Amino acid sequence: MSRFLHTADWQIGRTYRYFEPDDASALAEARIASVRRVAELAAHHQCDAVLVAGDVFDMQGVGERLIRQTLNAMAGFSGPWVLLPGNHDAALSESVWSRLQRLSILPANVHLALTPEPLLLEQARLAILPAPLTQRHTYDDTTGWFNNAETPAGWLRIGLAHGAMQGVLAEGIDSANPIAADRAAQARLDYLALGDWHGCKQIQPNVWYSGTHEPERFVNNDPGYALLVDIATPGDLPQVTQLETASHRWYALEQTLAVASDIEHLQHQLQALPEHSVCRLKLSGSISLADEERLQRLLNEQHARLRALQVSKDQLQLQPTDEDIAALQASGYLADVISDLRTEAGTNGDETAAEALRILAGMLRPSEAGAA
Amino acid sequence: MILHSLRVENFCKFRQPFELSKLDSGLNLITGPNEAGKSTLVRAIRSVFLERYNTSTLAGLQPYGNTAVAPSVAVTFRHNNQAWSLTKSFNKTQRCDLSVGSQQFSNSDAENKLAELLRYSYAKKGSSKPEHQGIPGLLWVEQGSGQELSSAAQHAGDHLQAALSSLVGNINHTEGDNVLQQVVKQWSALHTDTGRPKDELKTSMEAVAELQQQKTGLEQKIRQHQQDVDRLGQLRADIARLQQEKPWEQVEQQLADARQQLEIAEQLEQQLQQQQAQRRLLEEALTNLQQQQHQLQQEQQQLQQREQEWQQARTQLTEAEHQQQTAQQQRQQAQQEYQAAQALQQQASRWQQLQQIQEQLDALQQEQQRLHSAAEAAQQASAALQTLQEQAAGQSYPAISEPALQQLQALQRQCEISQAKLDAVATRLHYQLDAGQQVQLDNNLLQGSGEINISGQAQLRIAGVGEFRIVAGGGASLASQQREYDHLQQQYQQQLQQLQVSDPEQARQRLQQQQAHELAVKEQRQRLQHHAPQGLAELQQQVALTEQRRQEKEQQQHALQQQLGDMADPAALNNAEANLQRSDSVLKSAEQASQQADVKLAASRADATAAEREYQQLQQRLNDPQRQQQRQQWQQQEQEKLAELALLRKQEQQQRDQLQAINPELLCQDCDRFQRSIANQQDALQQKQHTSITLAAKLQAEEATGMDEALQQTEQQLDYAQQRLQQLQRRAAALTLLKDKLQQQRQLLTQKLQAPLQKHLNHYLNLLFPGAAIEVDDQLIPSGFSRHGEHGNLADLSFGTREQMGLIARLAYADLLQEAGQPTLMILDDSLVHSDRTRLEQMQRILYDAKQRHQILLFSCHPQNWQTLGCKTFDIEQLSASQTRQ
Repeated sequence: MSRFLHTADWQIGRTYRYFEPDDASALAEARIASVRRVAELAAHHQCDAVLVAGDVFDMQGVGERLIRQTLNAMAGFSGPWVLLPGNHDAALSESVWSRLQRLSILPANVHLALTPEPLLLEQARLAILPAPLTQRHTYDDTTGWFNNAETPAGWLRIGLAHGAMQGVLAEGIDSANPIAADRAAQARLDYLALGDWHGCKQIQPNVWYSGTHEPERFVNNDPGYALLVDIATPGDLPQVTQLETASHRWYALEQTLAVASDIEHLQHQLQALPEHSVCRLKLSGSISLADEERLQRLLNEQHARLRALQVSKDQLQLQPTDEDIAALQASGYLADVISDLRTEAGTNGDETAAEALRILAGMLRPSEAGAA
Repeated sequence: MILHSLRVENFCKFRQPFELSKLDSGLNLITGPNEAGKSTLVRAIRSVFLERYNTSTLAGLQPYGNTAVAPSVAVTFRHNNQAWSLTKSFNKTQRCDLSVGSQQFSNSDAENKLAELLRYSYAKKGSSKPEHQGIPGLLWVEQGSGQELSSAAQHAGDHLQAALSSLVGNINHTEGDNVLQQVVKQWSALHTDTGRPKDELKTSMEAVAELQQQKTGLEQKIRQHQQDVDRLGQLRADIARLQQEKPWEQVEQQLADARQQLEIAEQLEQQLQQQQAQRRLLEEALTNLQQQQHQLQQEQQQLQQREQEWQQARTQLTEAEHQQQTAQQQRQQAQQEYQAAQALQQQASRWQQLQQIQEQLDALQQEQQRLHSAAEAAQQASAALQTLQEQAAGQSYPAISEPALQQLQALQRQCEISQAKLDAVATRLHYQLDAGQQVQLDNNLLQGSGEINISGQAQLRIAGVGEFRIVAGGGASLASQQREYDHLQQQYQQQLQQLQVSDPEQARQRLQQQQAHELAVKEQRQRLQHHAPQGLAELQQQVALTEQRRQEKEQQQHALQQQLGDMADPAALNNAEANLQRSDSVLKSAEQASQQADVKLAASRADATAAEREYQQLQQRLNDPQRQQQRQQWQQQEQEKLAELALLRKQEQQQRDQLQAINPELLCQDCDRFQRSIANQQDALQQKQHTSITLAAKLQAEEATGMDEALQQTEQQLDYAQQRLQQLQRRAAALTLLKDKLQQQRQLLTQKLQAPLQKHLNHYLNLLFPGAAIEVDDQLIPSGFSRHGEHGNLADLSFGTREQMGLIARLAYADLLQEAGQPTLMILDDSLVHSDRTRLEQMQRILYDAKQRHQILLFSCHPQNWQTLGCKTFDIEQLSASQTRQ
């Protein structure tokens, strides 16, 4: 009986654009924190090995600090690790891997699968057949050699590859790094550990994409897991268990505002999200000045509560109501200006006019409060 | 509001009650000289309305020097069809009473009602200040302040605005202004005055630009890096392939084959070279043979040539001999001619000498004659001189000089003068004695008649009578005169004696004689000097000498005449010298020609001898029988060698063809080519290895900088910066929009608000300055002024014009207030004193126009200025006098 952990697409060094700087750095750090969780899970489940199916690093030119932080995070599991180069960190003539070797900080239990040849893990009797990418994109099936690979008798044959399994994902797309759909059968593999697809996905009973260990997009394809694989004896079907590794869950919400109660509805939705969530909120419809103020208060609350909150108001139009205008209690020529702006913002959807109204409202409101 | 009457009592100037009543509802001119109480009346109106009745600190209201009485003022006026009566007394008795129709008010109530009516306020403490005086402060113009408008208008501002609002509608300005101020402040936080971005907006824009630049830079670096990585991969693959395939080995085999071929060719070449050397030797021998035969032929030709040359030499010799003889003859002839010319020249020379001597002889003869005559003359002169000297020596008189003569004459004159003087002072004695009578005066006997001067004393003795002793008058003077005369007389006599003359005339004759003698001596001496400058002896010696020389010359002449002999024609001797020279040069050239002919002859002889010898030698050699034999032998040898050469040439051609077939040159090139391509291939491999090492090192160095990570971070920063900039820009745009809109609306509103005031202003302005325009600022105060297309500030106008404008503006305010239903009373204290006559005329028209709407009290101490005002006039002095009488 063998047991190993299948993970992939760590993409260490990935940055988060369009986030506020502190959110972005927290999310970047989470990718390393989740590697630590992978190590802890492997140790906890007493795994024979951890197989990482490509894209360990997000790019070739990562800094030395990140490389060291990654290795530190892996220290929690002292058993063998097998790291496979993917398209982001392909084993080019000069690559993050050659650097890693030059730095001479690679622990003995971490194996780099840089060449297409069997990697034998003696203790667990696992014969790992890796298909490292040596170019960023290739249109050849790099797993082809698995078919004729010799492995010791009685050992498990485990394929490790990074790419698109033909006919399964993104139909019709001339995807790079193809993998034959029946590779596992052809090469008599007990298990084919795949990387590249960021969601967790079973292709065949013994062919899986583990998905990334830490979500990094608002795509709901079930990321944030590692796979615990148990195989009793060679030839048996594996037993695969999803183990949660994610630090943050990502949610994409959309809300059209039309009536005042929509804001309450939105509040319930947001409140339902776990605290460490990363949320993108797309707002559309129209809103009064008064409601906009309420909305802003709500968003401020949630912004403080959640890990990250991105709000898009491009489709939300400020539509000041008569009550809004009355509330400003403007008279004289100021009232004329406000009326002008209201027409431009409400009727013509002029964003500058809307912003001007907001500024005016901000100026008029404190004096109102002061008077009250 | 129409003021009917004003009554004062115990008020400043007016201790007695004084009343101004029956005031006109329009224009009232109140006049009086200085001190008449004009200003007191103005003060009274201001006090009764503006001062609190119970103000304790009101100074200057008391009549002069009297503090015991209470100053009081009473006015009656009509407003809103109601009669108002107001009485106020100050200081001692503090009281205020107001009746409006049937209603009565007193003290503060009364005052508040008044303030509300006329729109002013009271000072909390003390006397009323300008800031309290509201509308009255504006319409009641104090003396000398008509040009000052803005502060009064500011203090009345609220009331004016209220009046405008009641006409135009209530408009809230302040709130908008507050907001505008905030907007401008926030806008200024992001913009400079000229609207360019500043502070956060600017730094944000700069940050985005900088990050974009960084990003582009990093992207470029990474792109380059990736290309380099690909190139390294390609290089490594190439190196591996080359090391395995070793493509240069095949070329090495080709090289070996080519070299073998080349060796064969080289052997062939060597053989060919040997054969060629052999052939060349043969060719050389043949050439020698041919040359020798050719030489024989040439010698035959030479013999003929030498014969000709010999013949020629002989001809030349004959010619030379002939020439030599001719030259010889010519020389002898020239020699003879030369000798003849020489002789002739000698004769000519002697002839010339003879002539010269003749000339000298002539000259000597002349000289002799001259000397003889000179000697004669000299002797005569000498004799004359001697005679003269003898004459002179014979005389015994002393010599008289010109000065001595003059001195003598002078002395004579002085004696005469002295005599005259003496006569003048002397006592004159006239006498006329009877015939035959005589008297004795001193020692002189006097007879007949006459005159005698007596100086000093005299004794006149008349015989028979006795003696008279006469003492001359004049005393001392006469005595000294007498002494002087005696002295002079003595000198004169002495001089005459010295010169041995009797009188000066004789002395003068002697001097003339003496001078004539000296002249004769001088003449004879000059004559002697002329003929014998060196003396007579010397002259005689010269005569002897000349004679001697003449004799010598005559001897010479004689000798020469003998030498010359019979001279046929002296003219033939004329050209002797020229002939001699010509002969000399002819002789010289003849000698030279003769010498040359000698030399040429000698050379021609030698040539002829040599030419003959050479010809004979050559002829001898050619006739040698051995020579004929040799010639035949050489011809035979030539034939043999020609045959041999043909054979050799044929063989050589065959070998050359063979060599050409192999083409060793091309083979050499092949070898070179193969060697080079081997080297190139190996170099290329080395180059690739070197490049791959360098590239790898470069890539490793670049990777260490973590470029990808840096790019991602930069992108992240850029995205954030762009978001921030977008927000700021949106805010900036919104603020700009707000600012513009608010300012625009405010402008519109202000214009609307000021329209009624502007209307009234224009009305008056057109009366004073047709076509001019006036601008009003936010506070309703006229500020700008334009006339004839020129624009300026009101403050820059002249004092007089500003005063006129001030009045116009006040009238316009009054119109505005009246339009709003408020009371208007204009009080002008000595206004427009700085206006010229024309303007004053215009202003009178304006006031006359305004009186239709407002009551106007015009106080003036210049009634003559307002004669055409056409209004009721009150003379304070007259009124005061009449009221006191009553």
